[in-house]
Amino acid sequence: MQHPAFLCVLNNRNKRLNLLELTASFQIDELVERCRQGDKKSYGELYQKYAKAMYNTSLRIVNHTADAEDVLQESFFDAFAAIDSFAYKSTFGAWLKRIVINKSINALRKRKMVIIDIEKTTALHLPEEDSYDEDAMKFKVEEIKKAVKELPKGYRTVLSLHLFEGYDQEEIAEILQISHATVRTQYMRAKQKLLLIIKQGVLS
Amino acid sequence: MSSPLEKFILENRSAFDAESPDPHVWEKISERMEPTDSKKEAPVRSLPLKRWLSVAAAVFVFGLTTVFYFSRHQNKAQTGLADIKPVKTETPGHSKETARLSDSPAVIAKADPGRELKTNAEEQSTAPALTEENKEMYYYAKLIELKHEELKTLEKDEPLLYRQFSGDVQKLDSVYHVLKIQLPNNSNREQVIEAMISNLQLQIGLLNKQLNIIKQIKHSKKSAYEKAYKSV
Repeated sequence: MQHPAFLCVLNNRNKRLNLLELTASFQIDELVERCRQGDKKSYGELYQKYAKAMYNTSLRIVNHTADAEDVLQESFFDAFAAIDSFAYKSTFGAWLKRIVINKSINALRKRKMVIIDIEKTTALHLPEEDSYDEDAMKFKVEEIKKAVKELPKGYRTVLSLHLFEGYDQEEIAEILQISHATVRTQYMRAKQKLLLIIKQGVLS
Repeated sequence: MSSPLEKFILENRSAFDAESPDPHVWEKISERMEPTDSKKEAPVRSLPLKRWLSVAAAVFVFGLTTVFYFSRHQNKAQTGLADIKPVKTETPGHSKETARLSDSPAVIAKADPGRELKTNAEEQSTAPALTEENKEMYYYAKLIELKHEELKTLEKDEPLLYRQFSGDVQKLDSVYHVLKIQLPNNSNREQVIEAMISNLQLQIGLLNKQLNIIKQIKHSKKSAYEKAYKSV
């Protein structure tokens, strides 16, 4: 039995991207190794590679630039201090992102946010049926960004973890320490609300 | 991830990461890392010295063994070859070559210097140039041997891949042996030797590429795991 990676490397030349991804992750691993040996420059390179993505991830959750910068600083500092414990069970990026997300959620909680809070505000102005014709809507990046910022904190967290960070519902349930079912309903409501905001924004 | 909104975000994902953090964030991080750096510096600094010593020791040992090796073979140039490689009894003239055909580069590495030195004794006028090429070939053969060993570690995990890889190397290697057979009878010795050297270089290049592929496979095994774990 041949290894699938071998097949994709040698036989499937259309999938050049796969090779590129492989070499990219290889470069990151090399940087991580050099950091472990105490190479200062590699820390800087690693920061430059991930800072922007991590900052935006945090910003979508905490919705506050100063808070997001604090989260960024704390996350990178902690990640670098604990870089020896990174065990390649995931990519370095995925590992770092979990740190950023946990810290972002903690920052939100410090601001006296309770996830269950949202339940009270839900369904008040949300019609039952899916009245926003999603298919007919033309999306724009800026509109979506603006609408996400207007979402209540809890909605925003669940929505951005799924929609932007690609975690599935089980993972989100674990991250937020809430039940699977709560994640599902919250995500659905969050999406409805987001579509409503976008629609209203377009109309006004 | 099937609704239009989800699809749109997935397609335009990078556009959503447009915000940039303030540059002072990195300054703060590197400032905070300063104290831990000074603690780490002590063990880091002692490493190069150790490494230099070990390199010096390795060079010394290598030099000693080569001197010993060559002097031993010059003493018994004719019998040296038989010593290193016991030959199956067939027609005595050809058996050396046929036996070598099945050799791995590891055996070539050992057999080469003795053989070349024997020819050196015969043609003393070209001796200095030959020993140099001889050394070069020995060096390459040694490299190939090392890489072969590295490749062999793969045999357990990927037997099929290993068989393909070693088959490829074998093809090149057999060309090398054909050249080797031609060497004693060929009037243009230098060209043949050059061809042999470039063949060895090719083998090294091939082995390097194979080892790279293995590295990538090991990597993608990791990333396959990550896909389950979710990547960035």
